[in-house]
Amino acid sequence: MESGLFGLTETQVAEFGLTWGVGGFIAFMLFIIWKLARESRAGRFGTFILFFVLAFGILGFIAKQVIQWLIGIE
Amino acid sequence: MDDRVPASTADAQPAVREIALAQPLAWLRQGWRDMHGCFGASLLHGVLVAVGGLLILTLTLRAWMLMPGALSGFLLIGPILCTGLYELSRRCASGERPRFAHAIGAWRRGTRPLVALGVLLFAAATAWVLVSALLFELFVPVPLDSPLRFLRYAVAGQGGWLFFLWLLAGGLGAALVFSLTVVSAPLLLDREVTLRTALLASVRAVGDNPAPMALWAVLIMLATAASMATLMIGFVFAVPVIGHATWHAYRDVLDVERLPRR
Repeated sequence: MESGLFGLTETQVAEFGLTWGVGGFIAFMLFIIWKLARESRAGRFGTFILFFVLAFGILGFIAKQVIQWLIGIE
Repeated sequence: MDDRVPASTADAQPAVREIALAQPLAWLRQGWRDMHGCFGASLLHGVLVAVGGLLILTLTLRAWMLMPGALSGFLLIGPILCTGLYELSRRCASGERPRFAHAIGAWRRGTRPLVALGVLLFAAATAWVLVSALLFELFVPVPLDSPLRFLRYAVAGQGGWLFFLWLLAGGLGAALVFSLTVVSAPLLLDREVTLRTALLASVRAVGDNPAPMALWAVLIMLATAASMATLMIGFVFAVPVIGHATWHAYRDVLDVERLPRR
């Protein structure tokens, strides 16, 4: 029997936290980005955020491949 | 926000210039030249950041959950760590011979909005360390008791999705911090403006030049990744070049002639 919190199992708490907690955190950051773009009247701020997150993701993916290769995992 | 700045000054907004896509490469060249112009004082900044990074790496060796957040959070306060470098470049540009005392002077001047920016970045870095640690603590069902197990779980197998979620959240946070600080720290050091004016000017500079600023961000990311891959040693040169280059980015992107000097 798994230990529970408010009648929920550990797996349920983790799933709830991942979908709503992290989702909410990301949504909050998107709200700040939208608010900043409006207040600063910066025309293509959204375009920059897209470029940045894409570049960050690509670099992270390359880092993942290099680390996997270094420690010898598929 | 600093209320001591007179209303007329506080209202003044720096104008944003549109720049060419390749301009960040020119900033790097100018940063390299400035580093040679004040070699000892510049390099000392790099050495301090490298030692700080190594210290964090050593301290978090026993607490794996904290390491990804602590290392990336440490980088978030980079714009403030480079304050001395902006002052050295400013002295170079005005024809003075920059000395280490000038860099110390910039820190001691410690103007209120600049300190407030430091506190803001420190708070963001701390929040990121906590969120990052929480992500790994909550969603990793296996004990991560060695560096290898941590890497195996975080970047491969069943932990792969967690790595990408961490990347997405980290990417959004880093994009926000980059936009808010890309030119605001040198602006606060150079001109009499409020923190709010400096932050919004920085966001506007990014929004009006999305492609060159994205290239600038990629160059900083590559320099950071290379520095981390060399166990922080790369920071000894990367920090001075990027710090000085940030001053030139600020001078290129913002027209601050109407604003009073600090």
